[in-house]
Amino acid sequence: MFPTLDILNDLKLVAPEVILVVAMCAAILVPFINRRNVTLPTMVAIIGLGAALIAAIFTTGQQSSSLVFSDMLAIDSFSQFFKIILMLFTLLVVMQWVLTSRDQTHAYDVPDFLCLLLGATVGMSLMASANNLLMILVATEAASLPSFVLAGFRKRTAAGSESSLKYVVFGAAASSVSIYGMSLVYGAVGSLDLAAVAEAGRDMSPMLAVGLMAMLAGFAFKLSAVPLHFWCPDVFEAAPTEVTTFLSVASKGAAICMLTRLLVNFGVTDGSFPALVTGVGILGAVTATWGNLAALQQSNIKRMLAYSSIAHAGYMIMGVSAAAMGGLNDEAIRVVAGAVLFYILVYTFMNLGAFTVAAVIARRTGSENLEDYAGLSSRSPGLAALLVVFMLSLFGMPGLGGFLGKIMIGAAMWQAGSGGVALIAVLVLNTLISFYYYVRPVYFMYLRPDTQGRPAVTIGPAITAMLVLCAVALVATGISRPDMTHVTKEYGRLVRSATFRDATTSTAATTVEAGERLVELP
Amino acid sequence: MTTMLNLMIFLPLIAGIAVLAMPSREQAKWLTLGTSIVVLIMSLIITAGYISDGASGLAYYNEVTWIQAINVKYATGVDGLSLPLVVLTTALSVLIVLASWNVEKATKAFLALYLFLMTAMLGVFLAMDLFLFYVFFEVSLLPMYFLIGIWGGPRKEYAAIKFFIYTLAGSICLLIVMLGLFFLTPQHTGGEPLWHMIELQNLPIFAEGGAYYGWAKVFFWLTLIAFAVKIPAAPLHTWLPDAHVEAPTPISMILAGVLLKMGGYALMRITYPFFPDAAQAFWHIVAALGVFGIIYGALCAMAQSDWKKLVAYSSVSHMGYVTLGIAVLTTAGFYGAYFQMIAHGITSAMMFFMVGVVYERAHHREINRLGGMWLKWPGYGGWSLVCFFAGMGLPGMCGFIGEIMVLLGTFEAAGAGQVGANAAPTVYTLGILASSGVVLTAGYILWMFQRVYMGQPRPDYDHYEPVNAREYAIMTVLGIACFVFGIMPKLVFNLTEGTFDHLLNVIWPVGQVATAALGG
Repeated sequence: MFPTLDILNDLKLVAPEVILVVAMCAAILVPFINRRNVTLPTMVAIIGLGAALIAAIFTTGQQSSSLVFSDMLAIDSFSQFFKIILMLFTLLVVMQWVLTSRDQTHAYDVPDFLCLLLGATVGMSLMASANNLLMILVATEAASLPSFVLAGFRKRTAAGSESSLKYVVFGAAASSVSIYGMSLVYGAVGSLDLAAVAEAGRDMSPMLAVGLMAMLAGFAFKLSAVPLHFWCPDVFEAAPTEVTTFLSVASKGAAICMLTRLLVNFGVTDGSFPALVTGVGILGAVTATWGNLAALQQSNIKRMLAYSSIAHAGYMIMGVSAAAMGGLNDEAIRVVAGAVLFYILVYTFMNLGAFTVAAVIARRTGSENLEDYAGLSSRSPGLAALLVVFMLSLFGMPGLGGFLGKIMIGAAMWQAGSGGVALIAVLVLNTLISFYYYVRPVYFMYLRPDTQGRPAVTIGPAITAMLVLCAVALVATGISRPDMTHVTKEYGRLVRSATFRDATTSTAATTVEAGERLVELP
Repeated sequence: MTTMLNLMIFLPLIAGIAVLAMPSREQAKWLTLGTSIVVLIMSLIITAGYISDGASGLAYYNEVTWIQAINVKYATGVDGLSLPLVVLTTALSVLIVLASWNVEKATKAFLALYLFLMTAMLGVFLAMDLFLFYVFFEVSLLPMYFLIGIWGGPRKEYAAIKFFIYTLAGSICLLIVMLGLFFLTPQHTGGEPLWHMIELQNLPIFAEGGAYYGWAKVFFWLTLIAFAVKIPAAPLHTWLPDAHVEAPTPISMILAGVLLKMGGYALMRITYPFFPDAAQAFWHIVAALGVFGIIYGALCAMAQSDWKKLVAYSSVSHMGYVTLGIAVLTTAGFYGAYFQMIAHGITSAMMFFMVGVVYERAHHREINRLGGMWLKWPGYGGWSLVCFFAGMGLPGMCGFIGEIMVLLGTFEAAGAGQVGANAAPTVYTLGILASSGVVLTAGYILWMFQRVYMGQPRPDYDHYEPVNAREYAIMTVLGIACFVFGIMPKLVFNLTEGTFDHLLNVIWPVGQVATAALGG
């Protein structure tokens, strides 16, 4: 009946998460050695993340697809690739924080900050692997709770507290709706396993449909999909920039991976789920369009990037909606999953770059207003040029990674049939709309002269190196050397529950097995 | 040769980065000039090789797998359609670097952007993979945006963003078509999507009666819009006068001389060969757009008091011949349209340069505040006469060949029957209207010439610096080219002949009329 529990082997496969938990505990304990030392906890976090990164790389190669802990977690190349991106990204976020605002953080707060950051990373890492509704809930909460605190980490500012509170209230509401949905799903299916839920979805009962919808609300919150996006701009504006960077990429990336896994489980059944495909597709289309239209009106760069991140989440949601089409083969799934991985990869670099530039400029000039970017090209030509690269990649300029990301998403959408063509049209139109606001910083920096004698922004070698790394990564993915679209497609393999595979491949076999089991019982 | 081809595309890019690192302006200028001369020489070597190899179609083709997941290759090569435009680009580039010698504001950035633009332009003409073409096509917008937006005139921001948004909207149409091809061509190949621009010609699935003829019609219109913006065909031309008026002289030259040609080139490379049956179905609408452009552009030009705007509208009018020549689907029309692009590349670049020479000294372009330029600088006046008359289409000069062949091709369409059996009345109407454009052209050019060049020089000319040797060199080269191509159009036709025979066979599979008389 129950899959055998090989705890040691399973633990090996979740090594990245285990390492992060150890590092998290270590980070909170080191102050007992020396309370004023900020280097020690930082080193602990960096070493922990580095080790987790290596572990993620190793687990990818070792056993590329396994279900561990009674099918609670799926460890496959899809989840592990995301974890590699996540660890790398979190590592870069820690760097960003060290370089731009660690000195503004009180020494006593440093371990707390790192502990929360690592805790959220554990949660997000689990989200990518969650294969059971219970695990989805636990992982989402593990990612959310530290995020709420991180968003309000500027304790002494009113905006920080406000944004944190908003985030908590919204998050709590979304979680409770989601849990309620899961309880309905459990009532209808009698199992929390994703594959079992998908299997039961073949003859969708009203209760199951309502349950799934309520559950998706929880996903939508993490993805900041419209209409559950209201927290996003406020939180992103008020939170410290490194937290904003972290949330904008990692939290959304993890949620989109979770959504992909859910939909893929539906997609491989023979039944088709037009309502699910249409529903998720429309959710994505509305999110992208709303995000872009709202971004048009922003004058604060962080708010603008917040709405831009909503739009990008919308693109990804539109792309994965195709995964729920019935009867997809492995190749088709790899196209969708690969597109998601590639998009997250590219999005990591462009958002990290854009937010870092915004942070260093805000730090020097004290302003996040686009008006204050006037004449930046003559004050700080290098920084301005780098921001141009990031903005154009976010827009999707050919030759930069963002463009190929959109192409891959478009290729994924095509799998969704005629609805997919409509989604492609939405994607293309949105790209056109987004041009206007992505080019505005460029316009201010290059075409508007600086009349108020704003100061030049100088950046240290470490930040320069990080920004150049991001820009080079975007150019490299953009000209496809190395061919990352191919790599991500290869990694886009998802493992599905064993019970489920039995059920679909041959119903006869299952029956026989069940019969045997019956015999065995005394 | 293939190495040289690819080096030619990327040498300007490398030089552009090097220019930014140069310690002084002077060195940066010389490096840019050197690079453009080297690129010109390379393009001439490739042309010589193309001729001596006796190549007629696609030559020096090479490909490398680029994006495996969607079967995109980095593929470049030359054929008769691209080669003359490549030489036009590289030759104009040298002259334009010379014309930018006096740029004072952020010279290094200007030259670097110009070199990046050069890479994009050459890439557009040499790419043989549709995806690669798109990348270069889109990337070419970016340097142009900055070149207009930073070094332009008083309303530069407006003009730059308008230019960008118009062309971007066009490229998005092309992107939709590319996605469509990505999804539909596997039906033809039975697996991988197809991006090779020669193999994509006239696929059976897009032919009349094919599985996706309906899509072919949609794609035809989308690509047409994408490239009509660039040509520009009226009514999608409104970005052009703004962009030209605000752009600095050298940028106007490259914009009119090469960037507009990308539109015509892409029509001949993509829109028509990919979807010939759809093109035949809608020929009269496209032809009418061309005729409308000719007349509307000429009438607008006549109404301008801003000299540069007049020249800008003359571009709209002249490029209307290109649209018309392609739309009528006749041999003469195609040859004429292609020649018109080369001729317009020479004359319009020269016209903008002539305007620039005066503007640099007078700091205004009001036609009514000028006059007597001939007596002031007789040499300059003489070359201006050559340039504007060549633009007007005086026999013996390059503008004539293109216009007359397009008009002949238009009337030929009535007999050839490719555009429908009952097309004769439509064809004659369009032909007569287009011919009247020639008269209008003569009207606005002669009237402008009279106001700017005739009469006595004004007293405020006294402090103007004389036209210097560098400027005379530029106008001499372009002026001689006006004559050379007017007298020996075979220089172009010899290169294009083989490719055009193949192309016309694709677009027009039956009833092919011998092209010997035209091509030489």
